[in-house]
Amino acid sequence: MKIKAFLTALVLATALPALAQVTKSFRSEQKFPLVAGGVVALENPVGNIEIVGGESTNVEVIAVTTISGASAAAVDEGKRQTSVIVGGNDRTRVFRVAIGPQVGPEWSSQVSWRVRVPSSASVRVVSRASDRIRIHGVRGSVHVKNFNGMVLLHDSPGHSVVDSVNGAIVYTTSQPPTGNVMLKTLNGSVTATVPQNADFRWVADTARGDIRTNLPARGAFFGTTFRGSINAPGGPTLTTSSLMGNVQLLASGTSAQDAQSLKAMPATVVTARGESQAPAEGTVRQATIRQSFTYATNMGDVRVDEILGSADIHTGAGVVQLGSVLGDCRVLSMGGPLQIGEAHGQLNATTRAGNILVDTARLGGVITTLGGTITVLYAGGPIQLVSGGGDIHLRQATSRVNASTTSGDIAITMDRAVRSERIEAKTDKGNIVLNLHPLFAADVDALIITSNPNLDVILSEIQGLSISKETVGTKTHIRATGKLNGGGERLRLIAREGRIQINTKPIVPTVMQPR
Amino acid sequence: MSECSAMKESMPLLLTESLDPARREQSHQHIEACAACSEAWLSYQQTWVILGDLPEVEVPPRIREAFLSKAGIAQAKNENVIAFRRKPVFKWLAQAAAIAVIAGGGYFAGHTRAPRIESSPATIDGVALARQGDFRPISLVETRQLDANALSPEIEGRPNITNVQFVDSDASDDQIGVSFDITSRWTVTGNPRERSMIRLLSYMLENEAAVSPRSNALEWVRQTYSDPANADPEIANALARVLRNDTHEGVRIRAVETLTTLPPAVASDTRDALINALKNDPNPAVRLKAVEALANMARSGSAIDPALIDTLRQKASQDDENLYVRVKAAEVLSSMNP
Repeated sequence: MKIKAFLTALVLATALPALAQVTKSFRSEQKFPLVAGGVVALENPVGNIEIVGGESTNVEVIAVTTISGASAAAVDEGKRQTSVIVGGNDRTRVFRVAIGPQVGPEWSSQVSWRVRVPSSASVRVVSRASDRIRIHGVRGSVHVKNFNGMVLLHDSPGHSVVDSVNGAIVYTTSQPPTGNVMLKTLNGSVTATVPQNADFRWVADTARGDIRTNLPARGAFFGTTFRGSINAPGGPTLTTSSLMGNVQLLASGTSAQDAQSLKAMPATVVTARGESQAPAEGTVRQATIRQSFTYATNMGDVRVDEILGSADIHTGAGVVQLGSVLGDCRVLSMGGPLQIGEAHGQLNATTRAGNILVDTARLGGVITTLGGTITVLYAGGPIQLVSGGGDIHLRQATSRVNASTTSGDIAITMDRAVRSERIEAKTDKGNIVLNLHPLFAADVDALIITSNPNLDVILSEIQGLSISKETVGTKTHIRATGKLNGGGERLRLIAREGRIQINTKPIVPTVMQPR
Repeated sequence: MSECSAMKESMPLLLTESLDPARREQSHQHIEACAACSEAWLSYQQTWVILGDLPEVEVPPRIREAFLSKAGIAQAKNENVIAFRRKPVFKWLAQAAAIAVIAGGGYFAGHTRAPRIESSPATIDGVALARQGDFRPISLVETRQLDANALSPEIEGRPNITNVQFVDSDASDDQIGVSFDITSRWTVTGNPRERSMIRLLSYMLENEAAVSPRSNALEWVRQTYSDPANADPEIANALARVLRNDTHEGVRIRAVETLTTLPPAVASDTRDALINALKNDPNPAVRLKAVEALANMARSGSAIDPALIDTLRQKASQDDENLYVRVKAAEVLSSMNP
């Protein structure tokens, strides 16, 4: 009995204040003309906001003002103190909510907005608190400054800036971004979803959270900030920054489960660092060369951050490090490592001895070392890779590939968008690993020549190959032929004393040591 | 010869350096060339030196007045000064006799006619504090002027006196002055809430040269004034000024630490100083302490305004700021609902 009375009292005690609360809503609808490319600015201290781009040439506004108070008088006072102000003209339309000071009985007010704007419009939003701010289908620029609440930006691929404090930011676009996008929050997470084939630069930063992606990002950490490229270099920059939360970049139509942590990933590519022993007189060190650059030295390093023309460099011995070359790039070293950032034109890089690292060969080219490892992170055109002894790693190729080494493994990953392309790979001692899209189509001719047929085998995650074995002298020839996905371009692989694998794994991000 | 006599006339002017440069040069050249003038010039110089060594004697006013009148120089008279005239002797005697008669008659009348009060043993019923108006507080001042009769003739201990100067602004009176710096040790006791004590400590906090080591003073202030019963805005403001102006980062850090321990109600006035330190202090440790202090204030619900929010937001977003400062600022913002 005592318990029942106590519970009744408790229910009454909690329910009575709620019953005493008075809430009223006031709805207003208005329509204003806006020229193509006009600006809609909305400043709303408290309340949800939804802005949708459409085909109309007007700005259509529905504003719902909700006032809560302890009494009808409080609600009246709240209504008096809450003003919706409309200003501007047909080029810039401004909506603003002004909430006056709390005097007398306590009340609270918020205004929720649903705004339809011409899709060509640019949008500016300033908000302090909301459950969500959603902007959809706006092709012009978008600026959102927010404090509390989630911000959702859908199919607005133009220049966008979202700056929030407490709240997640979700950016989704079905087209590649056409302008720079900056998504920044302090205490929330940032998730950006873009088409798989979008080319852009990606800057991701978080101090306390993680940076994850399932796109083929390649870049390096500078402090807590990852800077890199997605697919082909260049394009707009997508900046995703959260001080305390996670940052995710996902490919459209994929699961966040596939995303990998870049912070947890060790540097998979170690860049050539340190000074060589080359004498100073032959050495060139420059930030930017604003024209084509031709240089030859018997001995000396060549380090240039940026060449705005073509490059033709020859060194008898020394390190060659080029940040980016706008035109064709020809580098020949008689001994020493080569490191090339972005080669926008045809690349022809040769060293008699030393590793070669190429971030991007946009139009492909020929890369040769007589002894050393070749690593190419992105090849946007046909590429030939030759090593006199060393591994070959091609991490994302969009075109024809020809790779051969006298001793070492060959690993080639084709871009997810490539469904058929001619590939030739040959190693005289080592393994070949090919990573293809599951729908990659090819006419396959793969051969292993081995003295250990139990260990060296041909494995394929794509069906359609028939395997045969033949003993020739002391060696066993294992051959796989057939058509993948109905057949396509020729895929020819030859491995001596090694195995051949055809995988269908997604491309993993590449984290390099900072240069 | 006429040139020599003209030269001798101009020698006093040469002596007092009153000749224009051209004439001075011309005179010296003549003196060097002329033996008679050279001898006369030497004589002038010796006389001048002797005159300089003689003590200056103030001329008595009456002699001065007589001299000036004989010389035919009229002196303007001060209208507020009454000329002194010697009074005749008999007038003194008459005044003394009159006083004696009045005093003697008064005593006789009082003694014979007034009611008598019987004497009784003295008792003390209680002790009362002197009224505020009866008490003249001592000020701590940079310079003090004192009448000799306000100074006790007793000098206690051996105070260190330096930089002594004797001053006699008016030689005609019988007053002299002596000016000096003195080092003496003061011990002021009182309740920490007393205005004089608060003002004294505030002054000491802000005076870099006064307290050494200053961290000890700040620690003492922290211990005393973190007690809500003793909290005072003036101490908080003094700490804020230390934070803003002190050149030593160690002291500034201590100032923030002390501010952090003060009850939020009194520390709210220091918000601007903390924001300023967070924005501009070159030392990351000071900025770090400042953001912690602001976090405390924000948690207590005091002093949240757009300026504070903007500063915290800016700091949390600032890529080149110390990471701890950024994280702390973000943590504060996470609990805010502006």
